Amino acid sequence: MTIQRVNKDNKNAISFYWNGKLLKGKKGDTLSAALLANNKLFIARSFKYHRPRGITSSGVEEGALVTLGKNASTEPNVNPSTTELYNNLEAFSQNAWPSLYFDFGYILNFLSKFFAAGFYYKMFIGIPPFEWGKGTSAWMFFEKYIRKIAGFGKASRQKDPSDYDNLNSFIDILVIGSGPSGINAALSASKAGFDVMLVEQDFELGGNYLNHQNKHKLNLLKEQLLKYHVKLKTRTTAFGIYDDKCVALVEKFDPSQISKNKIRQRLHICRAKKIILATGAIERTYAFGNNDLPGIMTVNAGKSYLNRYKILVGKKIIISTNNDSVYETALELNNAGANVVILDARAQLSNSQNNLIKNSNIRLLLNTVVHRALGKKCVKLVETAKEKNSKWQKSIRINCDCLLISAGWSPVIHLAAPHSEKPVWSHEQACFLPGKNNQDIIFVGSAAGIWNTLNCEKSGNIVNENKLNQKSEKNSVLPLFQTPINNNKSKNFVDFQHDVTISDIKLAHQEGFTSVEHLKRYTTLGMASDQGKNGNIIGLAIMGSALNKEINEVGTSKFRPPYTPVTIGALASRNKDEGFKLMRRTPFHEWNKTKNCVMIETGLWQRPWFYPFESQKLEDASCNEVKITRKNVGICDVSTLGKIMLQGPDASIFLDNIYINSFSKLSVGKARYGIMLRDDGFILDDGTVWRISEDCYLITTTTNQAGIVMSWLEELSQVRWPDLQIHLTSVTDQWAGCAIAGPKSRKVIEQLAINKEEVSDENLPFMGVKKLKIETIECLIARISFSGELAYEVYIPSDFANSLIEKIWEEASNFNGCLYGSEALGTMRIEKGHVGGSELDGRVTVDDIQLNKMISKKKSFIGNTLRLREGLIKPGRPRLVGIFPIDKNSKFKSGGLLYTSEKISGYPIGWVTSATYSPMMGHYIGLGFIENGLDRSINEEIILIDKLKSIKIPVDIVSPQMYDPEGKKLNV
Amino acid sequence: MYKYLKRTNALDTYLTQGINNNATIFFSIEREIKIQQIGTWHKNFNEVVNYLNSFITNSDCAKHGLVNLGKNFCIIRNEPLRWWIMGDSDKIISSLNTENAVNLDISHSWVKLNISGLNSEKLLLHHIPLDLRDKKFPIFNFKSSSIHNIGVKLLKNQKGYSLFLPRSFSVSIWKQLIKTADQYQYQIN
Amino acid sequence: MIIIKCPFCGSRGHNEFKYGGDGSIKYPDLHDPITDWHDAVFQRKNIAGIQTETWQHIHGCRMWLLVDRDTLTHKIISVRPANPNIINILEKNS
Repeated sequence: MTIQRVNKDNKNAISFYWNGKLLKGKKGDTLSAALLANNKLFIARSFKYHRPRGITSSGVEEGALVTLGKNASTEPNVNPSTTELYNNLEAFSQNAWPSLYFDFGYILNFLSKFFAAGFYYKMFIGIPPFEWGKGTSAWMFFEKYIRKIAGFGKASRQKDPSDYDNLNSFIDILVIGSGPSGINAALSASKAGFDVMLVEQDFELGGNYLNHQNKHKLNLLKEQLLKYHVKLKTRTTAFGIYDDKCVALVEKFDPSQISKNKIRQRLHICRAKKIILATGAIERTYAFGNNDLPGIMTVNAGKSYLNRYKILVGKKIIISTNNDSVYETALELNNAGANVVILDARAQLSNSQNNLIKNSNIRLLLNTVVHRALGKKCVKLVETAKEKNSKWQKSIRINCDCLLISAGWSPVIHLAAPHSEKPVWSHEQACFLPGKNNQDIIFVGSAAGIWNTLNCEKSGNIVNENKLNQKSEKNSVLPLFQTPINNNKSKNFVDFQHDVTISDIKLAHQEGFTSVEHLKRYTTLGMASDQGKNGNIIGLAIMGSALNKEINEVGTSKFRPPYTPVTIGALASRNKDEGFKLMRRTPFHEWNKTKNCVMIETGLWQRPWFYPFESQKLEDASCNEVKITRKNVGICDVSTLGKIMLQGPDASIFLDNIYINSFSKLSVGKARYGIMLRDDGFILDDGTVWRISEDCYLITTTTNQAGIVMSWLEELSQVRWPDLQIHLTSVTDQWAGCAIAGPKSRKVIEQLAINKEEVSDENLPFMGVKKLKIETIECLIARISFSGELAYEVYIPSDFANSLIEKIWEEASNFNGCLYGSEALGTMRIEKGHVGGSELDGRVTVDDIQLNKMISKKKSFIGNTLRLREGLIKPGRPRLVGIFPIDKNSKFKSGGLLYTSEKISGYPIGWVTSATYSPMMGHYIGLGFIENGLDRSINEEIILIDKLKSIKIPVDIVSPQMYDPEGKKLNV
Repeated sequence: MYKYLKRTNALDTYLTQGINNNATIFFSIEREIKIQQIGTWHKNFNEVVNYLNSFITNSDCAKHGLVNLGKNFCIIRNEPLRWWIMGDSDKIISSLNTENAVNLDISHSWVKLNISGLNSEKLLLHHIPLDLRDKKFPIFNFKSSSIHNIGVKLLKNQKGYSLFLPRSFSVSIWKQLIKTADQYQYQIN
Repeated sequence: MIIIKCPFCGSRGHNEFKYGGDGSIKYPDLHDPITDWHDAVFQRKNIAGIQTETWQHIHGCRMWLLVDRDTLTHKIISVRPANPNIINILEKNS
C-alpha cells in the first residue's frame, strides 16, 4: 500500500511519537490519519491470534486499538481514528511482545483450532480422572499465562494525575450530532426561539459534511450557528440517555490546552425537553477470507481520509460494494490519482451511478464480491467470486494495495435504546431502524434511515408545522454479510477486536447457543470496546442463515451505555480526594489547630482526637488529659453532637412518644438522659433533653446518629402523627459545644458568669439548665456529665466560638487545666461504664445495658411492644459488663471474644465492645457483653481471645461502673 | 471591657482578598447575617400569612420561594410551614402571636456567600443541578439544592446570587467552588 | 437520574432525596397488640409493579412524601405529601 498526502506542504505540522519514533502529522489530523500519512499500515496485533492489523475506518467503529501516553498517564485501548493529534502525543501499539513486528504471540495463530469460541468452558473442566467435571486447578495454573498473551493494552497502576470536572445544563433542545441533519435541526430550533445546544463528538463540527470535497455549505452553516447563538460543544460525546431523559455527556478538553489547569475531561449532565438524535450511520463491511489484513478499510474511510485529511489511501484501489453510496467516492479517488476497480455484488446499476463513472477509467465488475484477500503484512491480492446463473463460483484475482468495503449502512440508534421499543429490521434498507420511542426523542437524518444529503438537511427542520415525513429512503441494497462461497482455508472475521470469526458463530449454532444473547456471550461477539458497531449485524445475519430465520427474528442484544468508552475518572469527576467526602468542621476548628490538636474523622466530622505536648503519642497524650481533667479541669470540644430544637405546644407529648422514659413532667430548666428505641424494640440512640421553656426542648443525639435521628423524628412528625403541633429544627451548626469537666470546673464557670451566684450548686444543680451571658453573648449551660466528673456543657453561638473559647481557656489555665479530645473522653466514659456508639450498635436492647429501670410504666412509646418479644427478654441474653485483665500488664482491644476456659472455640459467650488503658485504674479496662451478665459465678474462668491480634488472656467480669462507682465526684 | 467579644465567620481565614482586573466572578461574604425561622401549623397557616403580609406591601408570603422585600429585611417561605426572615426582624418577632407560631434564631447556622459577575451562573452550574435560567429561576427567588450531597440554599437578586452554606460544611464547599473558579478569572472582595 | 417532582420544590433529581420505606403501611397505635406491630414492622410484599414508597426531600424542604413508583420501569406515577394536612395548604397557595 502506498499512501501519500495529496498536498505535500508543511503547513501546520505537528510532531508525535509512534512506538518511540518521532513522526510528523498535521494539525487537524486524527492519530489514524497521521499514521497513514507516514505509511504505517500495520499498527496492532489482534487480541487472540496476534494477527497483524491496521486502520479499518475513520470513526468510532474502528477495529484497531493503541495505547496513549506513558507511566501514570497511560491510556490503553484507545481508538486512533477518533483521537485528535496534538504536539508530542505518544502512542504505542499493544498486545505484542517483544515488538510489533516480531511478536511471539503470533504462534497462537497456528494453534487457532484450539482457541475457537467456548474454548475456556470446554478446556478447563478438570484433569481426568481426578477432577473430571469439577476441577479448576488446571485453569488456575494456565490463567496467569493466558492473561499475559491474550489481551488488549495494559493499564497503569499509578494514580491518575488528571483532574475531571462536572457540569449541569438545562436546555430546551439538545441536538446530538452536527452533520447535515443535526446542524439544520439546531438552526431551525434556534430560529424558532428555543434554547438550543448542539454537541459533536468530533473535534470539528460538520459530521458527514467534513467528508465532502466542497466545504462551502458547511462554512455558511457554521456562521449561521454563531449568528443564532446556538450553544456549541465539540469533543463532546453523549454516551447515554438515562432515566427521565437525563443525557450524560463527556467533554474532552482540547489536548493542546490541557496543561494549563490539569482538567482533562468533564462529566456533563444535560436535561433537555427534547432530544434530537442526528447521530448518523456507520458503514458496514462483510466477512470474507483474511478480511482483517492491514489495508482493508471501509469506503467511507477512503473518502474521509481523502477529503478531510488529504490522504490518498492507495494507488491501486479495489472497492467492493452492494449499494450506491460508493460511486461518488470512487470518482473522487480516481481523480486524485488512484487506479480504481469496483466490484458490485448487484446485477445492475441505476443510471445516475452509471453516469458518474462512465467517463472515467474506473473498471466495473458486476455480480462480483470478494472471496478472499491475500498478503503478508498488508493486502496485495484479492480473489473474487462471481454469480453466474444464480450460482456463485470463484472468479478472477486482482492485484491491489488497498481494499475498500461498503456492505451497507447501520443507523446509530443506540442512545434511544432504553427509551424505545425494539429496533425494526428493514429488509429493503438492510439495516435496523429505530423502534417506536419516547416522543421527546426524535431521530433525524441517516440515523432515521435517510441517506441523501439534501433529504437529511430537510429532515432537520424539526420545527416545521407539517408533520415530518421521516420515512426512510429507498436505497437499492443487496443484502451482503459474508462471502457466498464457504471459506475453510482462511479466517473470515466478524468482530475484529475480539477475533471472532464466521466459524465461531457456526460453532455456537452447532452447540445450541442460538439465542442472540447467548451468541454474544458464548463467542464474545460485540463485547469489546467497539461494542459490535461493525460486527454485530454480520453475526446476526450468519446466525440467521444457520437457523433459517430472518434477521429480525433473531433479534438484537440489548444496547447499554456508554456508547463509546468513558474513562472512570470522568465518571467520578470531582468526587475524588477531598471532593469524595466533604468534611464538616466544628466552630472551634481553627482554634484547636493553634493548640496543636490532632483530628480524627468521625463520620463526616473532623473531630479533636488528642492534644499532644511536643511529640507525645496518642496513648501518652490522652492519659495525661484524663489525669489532669480528673484532678483539675479539662476543656473538650463537643460540637459534633447532634442538636435538635423541638418547639410547639405538643412537644412534651412527642417526647413521651419517642423516649422510653417520661419527659412531660420534666421541669423547665432541667435536663434528663433519654433513650429512644426503633419500632422493633432495639435501641436507636441516646442523649440528653434540655427543657429550655414550656414549649421548647433541646434534644441532643450522638454524633453518628444525628442525621438518622433527625430524619426519623421528621418522619414520625409528618407521616405518623401529623396532627401534633411541633417543629423540629437541626441546630447542630448553630451552637458550638464546649464541655468543662473536673473538680475545678465550677471555679472556671464562675469566672465566665457575670455573677458567681448564678452558677452555684443551688442555682445550677446537677442536670440543671439555664441561659448564661458570657461577655454579653447569650449562651446555654447545662450541668451534665459524660466523664463522671463535676461537669458542665456550654453552648455558644458558633460565630463567637473562636473568641469566647480564648476566655474559657484562659480561666481553665489558671486552674492548671488542659484541653482533651475524643480519645480521653472515650477513656473517661468507659471508666464510668457509660454506653457509647460501640455498645449501642443496633443489636442491643434496654435490658441488655441494664437500664430497664428507666422505662416508664405509665405511657406507651415507640418500640415498647416489640421489645417484649421472647427472644429479646429471655434469660441468659448477653448483658453489659466491665472487663478487667487478671494480669494487670495485659493489653487488649475492642473486638475481642469472651469464652469460658472449658470451651475456647466456636461461638463466644461474650465480646468486648470498648477498651482503653485507664490511668485511674492503672491497667487496661473494657466494656462488653456476656451471657448472664454479672450473674455469672465469680469463680468462673473467663478467657478473652482476639485472633486478629494474637491475644489470649484470662479476665475478670466486673460491674461496668469501674471508677467512682457511687458517683461521688459529680457533686464536689 | 469585653476583650473576647468578636464575631468570626467560618470562612474568614480562607478568603484572601485581592483585585483581579479580568475577573468575571466576584466573591464576598456577608458577615453578621441575621436569620430568624418562623414555623406554624396547618390550622394557623392563613393567620400567619396575613400577619407576615402586613409588614410588606404587594407581597405574598404564601408563595413558595418568593423573596418578599421589606425595608431592611425580607421574608421567604422556605418550607411548606416555615419562613426565613433575613435582616432586621425584631418588630416581626416581638409581636408574633406565640399561639400561632414559633420562632428560632438560626443566624449562626449558615454562611452567606455572594457570587456575582458574568460567569457566576456558569460557576454554579458546575456544582448545582438547578435550572438557573431566568424563566425558571426569576430574580428575587429562593431555591434549595445540593452541592456534593450537602443541602444548600440559593437566592437570586439583582446583583447575582447568594449561596447559603451550612456552617460546618462551608470550608469544604468553598474549597470545591474555588477549585472550579480557577477555570475562570475571579476576585474576592 | 430519576426525576421526582416534589410538590413544594418542583422537579428534582433523586439524589436530593432519601428513600424511606414502604408507604402502604398503616402503623398501629403505640398500645396496640404485638401481632399488629409485628405485621406492620416486618411483613412486606415484594411487588413487581406499582408500589407506594415513602421518600424524604432531605436536600430541599425536608418534606416526607408518598411516591407511587413502578418497580419494573422506575417510572414515577404520583408524588404527594405524606402529611395529609399539608396537601390542602399547598393546593391553596402554590
